[in-house]
Amino acid sequence: MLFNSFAFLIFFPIVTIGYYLLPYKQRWWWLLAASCWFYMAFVPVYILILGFTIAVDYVAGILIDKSEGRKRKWWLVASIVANVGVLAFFKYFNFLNQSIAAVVRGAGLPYDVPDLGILLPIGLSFHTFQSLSYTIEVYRKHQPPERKLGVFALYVMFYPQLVAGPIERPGNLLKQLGMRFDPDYDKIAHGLRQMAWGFFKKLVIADRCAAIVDMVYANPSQHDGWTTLVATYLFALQIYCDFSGYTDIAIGAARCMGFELMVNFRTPFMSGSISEFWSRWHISLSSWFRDYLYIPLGGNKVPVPRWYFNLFIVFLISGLWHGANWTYVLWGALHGVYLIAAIVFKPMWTKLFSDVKARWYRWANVIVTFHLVFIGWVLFRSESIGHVKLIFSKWLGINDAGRSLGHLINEVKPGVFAITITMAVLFFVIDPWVDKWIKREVKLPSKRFDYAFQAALVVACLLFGFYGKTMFIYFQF
Amino acid sequence: MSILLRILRQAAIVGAIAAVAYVAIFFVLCKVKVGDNALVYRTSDVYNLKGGNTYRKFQEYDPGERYDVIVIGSSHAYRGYAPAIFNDAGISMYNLGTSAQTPINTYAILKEFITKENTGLILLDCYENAMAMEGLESTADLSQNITSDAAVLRMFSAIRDPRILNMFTIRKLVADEPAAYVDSFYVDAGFSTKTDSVKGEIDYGLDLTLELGERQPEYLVKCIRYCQEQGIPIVLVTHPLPKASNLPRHEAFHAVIDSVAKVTGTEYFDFAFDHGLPLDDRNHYYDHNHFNRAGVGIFNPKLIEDLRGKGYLKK
Repeated sequence: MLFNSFAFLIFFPIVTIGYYLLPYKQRWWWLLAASCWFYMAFVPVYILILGFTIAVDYVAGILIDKSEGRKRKWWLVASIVANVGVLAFFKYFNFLNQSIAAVVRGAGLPYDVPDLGILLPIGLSFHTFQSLSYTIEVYRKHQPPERKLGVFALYVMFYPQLVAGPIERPGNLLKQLGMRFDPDYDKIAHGLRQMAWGFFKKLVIADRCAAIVDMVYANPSQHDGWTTLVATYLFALQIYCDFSGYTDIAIGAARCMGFELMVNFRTPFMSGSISEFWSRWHISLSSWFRDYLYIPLGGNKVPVPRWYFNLFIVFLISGLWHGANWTYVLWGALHGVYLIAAIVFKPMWTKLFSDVKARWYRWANVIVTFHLVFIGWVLFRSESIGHVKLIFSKWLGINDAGRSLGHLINEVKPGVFAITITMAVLFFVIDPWVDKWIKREVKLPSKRFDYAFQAALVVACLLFGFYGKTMFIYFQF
Repeated sequence: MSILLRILRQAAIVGAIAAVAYVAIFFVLCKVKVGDNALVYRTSDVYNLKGGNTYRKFQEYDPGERYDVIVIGSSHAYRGYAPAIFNDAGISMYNLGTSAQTPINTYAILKEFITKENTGLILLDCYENAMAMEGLESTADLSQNITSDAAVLRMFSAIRDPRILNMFTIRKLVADEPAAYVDSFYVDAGFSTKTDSVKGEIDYGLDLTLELGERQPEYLVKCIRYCQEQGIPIVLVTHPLPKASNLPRHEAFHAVIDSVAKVTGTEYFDFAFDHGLPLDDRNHYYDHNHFNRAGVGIFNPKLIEDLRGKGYLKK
């Protein structure tokens, strides 16, 4: 079920009110049934895959807890193999098959292994990682195993964050599933406010930008350099608003029932360095990789070359996590290279600018960081490496043939284009403030302001919202 | 309970502020004119390019008057079936076809305007491009120009898109005003036509495959069932297409409509590629598949003859 659908408008209040009406001990099955319904609205049969993951990790958690020594490790390995196996089969089989086919056929040899004709289960990477974090935490003895299968299933399937995160940890979510939450006005109002902000980001900013971005990126050869440049700026905004908008709705919906999910974004485009960007962008994923891959590999407590390798491999895998395409692998590699370069050049940089405390210096860093990330978005959005090459060649003036920006504006209609740009600029200006209000890091100026702000979001969604069947980008991961 | 009341109170306050702001914005958009037209008509092509013929045909249509034939459907309908030709054959006809009309929209029109008393036969034109849509474009047109609030509300409940709220607000704010734009190609009794013929290169969409709007076949069945319940004979028709059109796509479309016809026991006249008429792709169409006046002049007599042959019209 999509958050931006009529079905969800009915589903959400029914589930939330039903949750509070039920006795505390009965609530888990209500939420589990709701989560199954939510997931089965996409492709019902794929719930079997989720069922497999849940069954394996539920059993693995108990067996890990009961075992000692090497046996304990083997149960963890079995859980990892089963989870990664499912992910590899459904998400990476075709990618691997096509890559092998290209190499084999390139060598002039025949290759006729067919691709799998299946759709990628929605949110597979998210719930696989969430489930894996449970068995790893049990193995580390940070988390006792969950004995109730239904509660564990709910931990993996909790509907607000089931298909696009935040990727929760058992120490946060599983713990809360055992807690009793009574209706709390402040929490519910806070949750609804965050949901409204999420809907605004998705409907008014992300989907509006998507209409233009999709037009250009569907066939970049038809557009000149300026047009692809503008489309990429809009994509930067689209992906942020799409994903953080989803997260806001997820966190808000969970909060209405008393649950506090992880913070996943902290105005990432205000980052002054790439490492800061990764501490503000998709925090639940970057911290997952930090805790379960980077640190086990040795983190930075190893010789320098190995440290660089650790960073690079983590970002390479992070790229692959996002999608089965070489463009994502390159995107991850690019960020790995950025971080290594930042470490290498840090002494020189510090020497040159250590005395600079001016505001402009911070802003210069923000702008440079934004544009380094911006280059990565070309890799992230392009459908193939060929498209990536084409776009960069246009920007470098090597092959700038194609329709002009004016042509694109006429195609999407000048009024629509103007609204999109106005909304985009307005969003950039207000987001740092609103993000703090929403996270309650700063108090809202007044109650009246709060009402006016929420009313403005509703009106903006009605007037400028872009409606239709639009998925959230991160569902595909 | 007190928490629920507090939440509802807050929602009511936010809702009230939003409603006032929303109506105020639309009031300005609908009442402030730039040149001859309100701002809202200058902001959207949907309102800008449509309107004229839909407004007139519903203003002129009198449900109290009986017609032997009502033609209904999308642009193929209102540009492909001339009341004058039917009248010359002794058949009274009115054309309720409108731009991009999908079965969802057709169903609402049938329910609110068509009865056994005012209609002898329904000719429902089936066109793949119209049925590929979800119905929002037609709803935008009809919601501003049709005379029945009930029909509009019926479309809104079927479409379930938040933009319908904007359309309904505009409808109410400009209720007393005529259509902002007049279609100079409107003839009479709901019929519009052009005399242009095809010049230059035409894109016949040969690479397109058939993707029907999710609920359109279901609503096509509903349209047929409604007519059958009312005791109004209904015939499905696809008018001739240029020979250069996308044949595989039409064959897929034919299969869908044919199965609907079989399930409902309805006649389907598919003239798309099988008509035996001296039509050519340039002189009898004004674009990739809409008839010009000359094309209509060749097709309509053949249709009347076939309908008479099958007993749907008196000889």
